[in-house]
Amino acid sequence: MRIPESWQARLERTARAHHRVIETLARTGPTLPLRFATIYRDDRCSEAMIHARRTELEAGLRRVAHRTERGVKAYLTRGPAVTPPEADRPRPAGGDQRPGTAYLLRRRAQHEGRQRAATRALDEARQIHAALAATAAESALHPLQSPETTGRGEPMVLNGAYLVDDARLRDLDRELVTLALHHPGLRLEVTGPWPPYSFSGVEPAGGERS
Amino acid sequence: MSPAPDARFGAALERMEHVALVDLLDRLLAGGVVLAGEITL
Repeated sequence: MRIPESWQARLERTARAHHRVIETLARTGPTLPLRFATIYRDDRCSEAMIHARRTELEAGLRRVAHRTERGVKAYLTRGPAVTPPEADRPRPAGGDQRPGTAYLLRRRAQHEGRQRAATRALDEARQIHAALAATAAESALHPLQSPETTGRGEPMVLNGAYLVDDARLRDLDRELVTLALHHPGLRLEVTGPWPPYSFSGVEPAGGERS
Repeated sequence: MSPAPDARFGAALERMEHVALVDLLDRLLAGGVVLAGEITL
């Protein structure tokens, strides 16, 4: 089903309005965003909720205090990584190989080369996530965004979120530079700082939320 | 001389509007405190 454009526009308007409020508040001190589009009928209801869950919410606020969420996405770049190794390349057409057969072999080798590159990229993405998670206080993984969603031709292989002590933000930046140099087949993209959207659950499942 | 507070807020607002919607929705739809007993669309 295709979502009508007017709904998309309304969703974007509402999401940005929500974000504007949360980000403005986050500038003033530790902030725990509520799940988007959670509705309280009136102030009395929201006050009752805060009162009932005060202990949990205060613990959540302590968890995110003096910490910042950063997003890191990695994309598989095109280039040598998708080229099949020499040994896998079919022999050129000629001899006992018909042009049709040579074409199919070439296509198969290209497909297998892409598969290998994707597997290798996902493995590298896991290494990157582990390195960033080691610097962060907490980490989370969001679903990979499809090329249709991102509008890029490059497939995404990592969509991570990292809650970092403000005192360690420079360490994270340094780690990112090192990782980018060690993984030339991937392009890293950093987003944020974000309010701690990905770490606002009041009951974290250990240090790793992914 | 640092910009006036209004100018600083304007710049921050402009930055917020340039956040990619898809990255924002990743966070808004998966994150945040979830509360029972009220309406979450």
